[in-house]
Amino acid sequence: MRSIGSRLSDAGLIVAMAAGALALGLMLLEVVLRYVFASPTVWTPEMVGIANGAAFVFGAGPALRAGAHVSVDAVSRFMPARLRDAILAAFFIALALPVLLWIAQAGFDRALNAYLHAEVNDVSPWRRQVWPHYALLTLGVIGLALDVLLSGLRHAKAVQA
Amino acid sequence: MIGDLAVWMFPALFALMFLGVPVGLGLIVISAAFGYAFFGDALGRQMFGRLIEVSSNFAFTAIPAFVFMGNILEKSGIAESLFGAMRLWLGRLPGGMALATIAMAAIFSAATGIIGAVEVTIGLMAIPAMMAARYDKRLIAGTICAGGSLGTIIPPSLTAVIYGLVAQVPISDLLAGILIPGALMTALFMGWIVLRCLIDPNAGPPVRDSGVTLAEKLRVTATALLPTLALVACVLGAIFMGIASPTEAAATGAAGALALAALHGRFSIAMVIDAGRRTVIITAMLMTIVYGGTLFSSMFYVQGGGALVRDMAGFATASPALLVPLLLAIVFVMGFVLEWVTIVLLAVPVFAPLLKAAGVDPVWFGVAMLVCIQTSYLTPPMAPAIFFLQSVAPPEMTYGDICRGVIPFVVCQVLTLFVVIAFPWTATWLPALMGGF
Repeated sequence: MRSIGSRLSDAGLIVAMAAGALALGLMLLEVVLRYVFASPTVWTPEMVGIANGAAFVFGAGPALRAGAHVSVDAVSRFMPARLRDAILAAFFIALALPVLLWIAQAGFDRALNAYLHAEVNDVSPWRRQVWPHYALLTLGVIGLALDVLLSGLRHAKAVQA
Repeated sequence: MIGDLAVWMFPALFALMFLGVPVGLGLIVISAAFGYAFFGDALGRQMFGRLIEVSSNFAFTAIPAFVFMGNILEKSGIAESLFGAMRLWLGRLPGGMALATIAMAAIFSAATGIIGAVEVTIGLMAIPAMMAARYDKRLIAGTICAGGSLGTIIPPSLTAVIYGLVAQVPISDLLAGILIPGALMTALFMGWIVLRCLIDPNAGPPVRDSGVTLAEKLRVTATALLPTLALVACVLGAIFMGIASPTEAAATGAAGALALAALHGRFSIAMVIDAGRRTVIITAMLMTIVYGGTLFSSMFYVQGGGALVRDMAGFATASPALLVPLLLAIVFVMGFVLEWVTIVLLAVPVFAPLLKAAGVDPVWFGVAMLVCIQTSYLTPPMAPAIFFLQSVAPPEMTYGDICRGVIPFVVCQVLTLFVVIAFPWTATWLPALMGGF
């Protein structure tokens, strides 16, 4: 399971990097169109925001796996390693995972509802359909939840070792 | 009854954080726990709604672009070339390599805005060189930590960008506001190094330049220093003059960094992928805290936290002379244990209404707060700067050496803070001037 989870996490990182590259490319395109051709687009800022958001949610899980999420070790570093692992295992599996799954479920409901009703963004000048955006974020949150579960299991295993 | 819950939000958060859980996830969990009392079963929808807002906010797209720009400059070895150029010009002075390190850190901070990354990068380059030149260990440690901390106060500081977004203060005003304090602090750091090495020449002996000609120095300067300075000037100039938004300027800067890497013959797909991977990881970490902090402050306010803060700090709102030191002291203490982004996300939404009620200039307070965050970043015993240095320091450089080494630099920062507080024009004059463009 962990091997499949790690592969999914790697896939999440690739999606995040692709989304980040797309956001940067679109920003540069907008700079060129605005300042060289005096012809800015109406859709670029919105697409950049969506791509950047995808990079964030899909990158959050791999960041957790890489140990890049900031934590305060001022007190915890004085704890025995097994106690620290037990706390982190309990936090990831019993607290963070249910909350993330709850957010993902709400995201799935919203995406499905938006799809069924062909909901569009009224604020957007090009009135885009919103379900792909919501579905993307939901998938990213599921990816983060998976990495949270794997981190929890890793710490739980360290407690038993 | 529900309002009473707000009182427990911060203690619950700190308890969770001290247990060592990731800050971003801790913020999300605490927000969910306390938010449920108010929103009930609608909480999931609320939290997803916030995720949509935060993740697709165009203003936040400047962050990955600046991070990518910094990573490219670091990974392509341009930072190393910068250090070499600074050494050529400053190495013969008393404490010259330490001066070169501070100068390089200031320029590199201006090119990246990433705290921590600057310190590790300059540490990896400068520690072996200064150790080989028999510099005093404490001076080396203090110089690296102080130089690495400049990322907070030299534009385009990510701390300033996030502060501006959260406090709804124009980012260009904040970036302009930190220019004078940042320059002053850099000058104070350099002044201390020279003074220290004049008093004790063995602390930082001059390094012979082994016959490098002036033509060679000029060549290295033209190829290593000037292009990077030009890139920084273009990015910051575009923001200050209002020619481009921070996001557009950051994207252009990222493209400029790629062009510089190509000019230096160090462009490769592998390097770009590595920089991209690191950018995604850093950005995701920052944005998780931004999302968690946004949730936390929303839940805090719906639980009646605003009234609670007004009640607690109400005595100080009548006088900015009381309020500003009180809030800065809170920030300073928070800085002992929390990362800068967490401090900004937690403190600014709570402070903003109080500052507005007391009529405090948000740009001035923002600049003072950034100096304060930077000072706590460097102040022992629980200084992130020290922990970053320990990750790259040789075994003979002890924790005690590092703590004693940073103290004079902390004094320089406190002096800068006093100057910003006593002379608010140091933070507000340039933003006002830039506003004229």
